[in-house]
Amino acid sequence: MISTLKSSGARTCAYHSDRPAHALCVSCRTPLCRGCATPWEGIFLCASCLAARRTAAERRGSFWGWAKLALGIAAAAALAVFLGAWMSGLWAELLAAAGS
Amino acid sequence: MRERLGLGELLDRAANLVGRELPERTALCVLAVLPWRLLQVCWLHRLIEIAATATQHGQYLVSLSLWTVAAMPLAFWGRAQLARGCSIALSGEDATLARSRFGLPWRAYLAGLYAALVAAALYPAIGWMIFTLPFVTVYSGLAAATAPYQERPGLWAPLTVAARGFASPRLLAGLWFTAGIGVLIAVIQLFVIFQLGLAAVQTTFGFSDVWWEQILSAENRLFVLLLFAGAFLAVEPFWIAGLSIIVQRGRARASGDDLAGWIAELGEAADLAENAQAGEDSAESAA
Repeated sequence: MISTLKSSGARTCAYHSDRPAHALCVSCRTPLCRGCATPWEGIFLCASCLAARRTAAERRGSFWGWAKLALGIAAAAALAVFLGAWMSGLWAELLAAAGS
Repeated sequence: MRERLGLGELLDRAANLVGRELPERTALCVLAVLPWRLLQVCWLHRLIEIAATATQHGQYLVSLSLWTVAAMPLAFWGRAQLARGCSIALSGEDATLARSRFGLPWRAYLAGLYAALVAAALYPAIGWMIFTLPFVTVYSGLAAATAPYQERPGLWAPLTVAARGFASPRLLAGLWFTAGIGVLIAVIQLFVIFQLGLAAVQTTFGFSDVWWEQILSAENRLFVLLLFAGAFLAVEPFWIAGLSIIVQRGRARASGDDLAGWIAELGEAADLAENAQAGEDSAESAA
């Protein structure tokens, strides 16, 4: 969208020589055809640069993601243990009272 | 892929997966779930024993509950292994691959375990209301069935992946009722098998042991609880396989795999028609 090939001298896609270039990868300045250019947050990127950005984004998110997951597992396990014991005890007593 | 999946077809496919395509994973699932089920039996038995004074034994109940939850990671691993086998088999890969490719990515396992633990906490939290029990049971099963597709860690992402399995409520309801009836039938069958075995031993060896009669009677609470545990163990693989099929169908529809498969089939049909036409043309020209 932003860096279409108007100003570039490249005529064909870097990956498909038989296809006309449509855009430039904003990151590595590679000419790309319509099939190879992926719009991402308003800019065109090639597949490798897109993968690199995605990996970086995933790495940034992963630490907190794993920290949250660890916290979630501990909290859910504790909740299952204590809630299970409390509710089952309560129910056993109520049922026994109802039975007698 | 595109035709609507009926309950009968779902059960057939699940039975085929469990019995023919994935017997090793089914056995692994049953073995892994066994300690958890036995601990549940132990917990319930003790709970019934101390019934009237249950709330006075808080610490004891917590320790029993702790042991039961501690057995969950192994049980979940077994269930997730079966679900993974189902997902490989359902993706159209060779059945031998589904059998041989053991191993579940630990990230997927942990994310799925988290969803399963949340489901375990939901049982005492809302499961005691009768109408919420099917929801909690299904969510617990979906946590295992969606484990192979868990990709992102976090607090919400694993729960959302599992919750997406609710996209086919009719099928889920049908599967739940069928599994429930299956458990009851399995309990009766197990009871009859034990009684027949006892009668056979008594008539063959000519002894009458009151002790065994009492142990294997319906009045023995522990025996009845063990029968239920056995029935759950017997039905569980079919339940997981059925849920895996529902999840896989939903994912195929959402991701476009379904459409891609249809287009590929159309292409094959077009090729066949073209070949047939070419054959007819050559026959005509020869005539």
